Amino acid sequence: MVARKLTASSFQAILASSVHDMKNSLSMLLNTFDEIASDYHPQDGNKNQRISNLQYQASRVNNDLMKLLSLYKIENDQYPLNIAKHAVADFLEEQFLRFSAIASGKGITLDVVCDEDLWWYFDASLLAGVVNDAVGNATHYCNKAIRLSAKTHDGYLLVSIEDDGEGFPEFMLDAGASAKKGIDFTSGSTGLGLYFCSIVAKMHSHEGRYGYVELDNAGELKGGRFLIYLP
Amino acid sequence: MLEKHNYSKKKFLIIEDFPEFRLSVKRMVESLGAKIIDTAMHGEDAIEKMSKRRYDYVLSDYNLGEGKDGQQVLEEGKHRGYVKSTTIYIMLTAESTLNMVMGALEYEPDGYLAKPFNKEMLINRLEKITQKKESLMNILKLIDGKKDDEALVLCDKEIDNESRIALDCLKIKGDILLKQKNFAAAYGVYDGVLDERQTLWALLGIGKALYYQEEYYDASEKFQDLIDQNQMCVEAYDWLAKCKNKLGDPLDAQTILENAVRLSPKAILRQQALGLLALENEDFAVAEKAFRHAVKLGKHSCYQRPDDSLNLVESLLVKVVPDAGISGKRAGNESLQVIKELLRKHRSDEVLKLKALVLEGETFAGLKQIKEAKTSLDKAEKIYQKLGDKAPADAAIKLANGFIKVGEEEKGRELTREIIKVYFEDDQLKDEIKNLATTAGIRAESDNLYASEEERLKDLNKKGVRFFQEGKLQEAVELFEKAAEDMPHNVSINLNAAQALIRYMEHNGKDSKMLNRSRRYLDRVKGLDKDDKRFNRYMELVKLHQSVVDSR
Repeated sequence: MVARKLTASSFQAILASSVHDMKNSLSMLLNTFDEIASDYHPQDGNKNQRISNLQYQASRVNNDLMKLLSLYKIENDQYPLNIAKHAVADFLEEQFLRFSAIASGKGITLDVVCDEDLWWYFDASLLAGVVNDAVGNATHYCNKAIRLSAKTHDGYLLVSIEDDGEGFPEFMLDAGASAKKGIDFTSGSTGLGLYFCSIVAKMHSHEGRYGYVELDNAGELKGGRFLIYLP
Repeated sequence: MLEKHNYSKKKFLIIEDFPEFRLSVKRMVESLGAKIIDTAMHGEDAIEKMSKRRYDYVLSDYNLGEGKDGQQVLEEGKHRGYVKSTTIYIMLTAESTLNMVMGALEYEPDGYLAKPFNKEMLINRLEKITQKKESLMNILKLIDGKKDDEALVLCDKEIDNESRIALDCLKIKGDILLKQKNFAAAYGVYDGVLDERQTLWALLGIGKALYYQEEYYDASEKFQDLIDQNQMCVEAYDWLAKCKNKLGDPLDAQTILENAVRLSPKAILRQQALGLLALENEDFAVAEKAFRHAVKLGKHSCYQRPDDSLNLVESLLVKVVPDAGISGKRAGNESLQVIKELLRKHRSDEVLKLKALVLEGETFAGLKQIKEAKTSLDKAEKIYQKLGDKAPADAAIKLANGFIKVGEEEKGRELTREIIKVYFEDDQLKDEIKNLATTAGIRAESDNLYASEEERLKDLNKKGVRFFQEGKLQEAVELFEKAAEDMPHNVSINLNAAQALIRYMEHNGKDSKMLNRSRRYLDRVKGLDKDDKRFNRYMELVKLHQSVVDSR
């Protein structure tokens, strides 16, 4: 067997350093927003809303950046997949902490439901990206409540993000169904998000089964529901 | 936010090149109640601070600008004992995709935190990792205290109880078993883990266990599996290359290392390994690049070796031939630069200076600067004479070759004769020395010299053996000790001298002066290759020497 030579790319080096810079700036943006927010009285609804919006938008940019970068690496066989055993409750708690400031600023209650003893194998970095994306979406569609939950289902880990809004519109549900089937679909941020989530799901496999994504409006909170199944 | 731990007495080090971010993290840590918080702007600064203070927590960005990165700081910190198993090292990364470390899994941080993160996330992470470390604390302290067996006992307890840290304990157990060379048991541990899931560290571990059991083919399959699952696991490439080497496929091994280096160019150990392999494969272009990287990385690394500079020059010298044109000239000038830098940094290492000056002479000769070449070689010769029996054989041979190249044939010949007298017994050098003799134009003479020296040695040994048989131990000792002073490089003579002394002492009681002398003769032979036919005799004599030491 003769080993195949990999090809290098100087674009990747530029990409890495640019991302480093952008992430630093975004981090500073977000941290500064946090500090400003803590200077305001919680009663001051308006100002809080605006700061939350700033945080939300900066967060969105950051998440899209992260998804693009990850997808680029995945497409080029350069993603260092690290499927390791994690305490799911701990994992969800961290995601909760990421969003709690933004959520409360927008008057949204964020709720986490997960068994303390649930452990599963997944790539924490990628799944965090998925949860980020789903919660970000839910923030847009919800009324006042978002629930983040996880449990086992038929030998899969099922992570759901539900909101209490009007539910996903048709085009989203269609896109979701296409994503599940693996068909190419819509463009824009929605497209990026769903594409990313379905790729992440597929990268998780075990004993011949692969992960997948579903969207429906059948959640307990009566709004939209994002589901990711990981074997 | 309820912090369950008290951070007020804990020592923190924050390593971050971006000043605003550094302050931001510092403020987050302060809000935890921590009072001792140091900061560093880059790797070297961090190492310096770590040398002066043992930190409980180190929060380091992976990217630290020029110089060492966060992973290299961790590696050096562990290497120097500044970072213990009980230290909590967290890598802050802009690229959340940096999960599977680009360096060695052996030195993994306790956690990664992807930017951007807020205060609550940092605190949450610190709490979780602190909690885990505490559960592992007893085990980790035993490991730091080199009490591996006791650590294993504790690990097994957790594993049997299927506690929260059972998987961590399995990993630790595997590591310890590998370290203790209990490869079959280590295999069992990793196999068990893999039964549940194809976990990366377990695949790596099982591969290593197989490798150390000399099952190179099976090991290579495991590593290839790993790479197929995760192209970015650089350590798997390193091991796969080692397997290929053992399987007699050095070219494949080299390609694999080249791939690994492309993924992770900053690991100096890998560049060194690639360079050496490429040199063996006579791929001087690849060797040149690898050693150039190694030299550059060496400026910031504790793994730097002056040999990297020498090897770089060796690789470049193939290009420095009289008709080579511009590329030859460039290679020559780079060589001279590298040597100059090396000589400047290592003023008191005589062996290194010898090697460097010989290469300098070769370089000048290649650049047709004969006068300068002669100067370097003369300087080298002075050091060679001073070093006596400590001068390495290959340097001597190169020196002789060098003299011949610059037209100092008589010097070259003299040196060649000396080399033969010293190394005629060394089978591995025979071909090289014969080639040297041919170049020097004294092939016939050298063959005679070989024959006469071998005769001399045979006679000497015969005489000595007769003395032994006749019980004339004193005479045997005198005979061989004189020979050992005459021919300090000669392996057999040194072994004979040591043996004579030991036999004498076995009969007449131990004597400290004799013990010292016999120790000296044995030490001269210390670097003997394991495959050398005289190696077993050397080991035997070392044992006998020790029993004389231990006797009353």
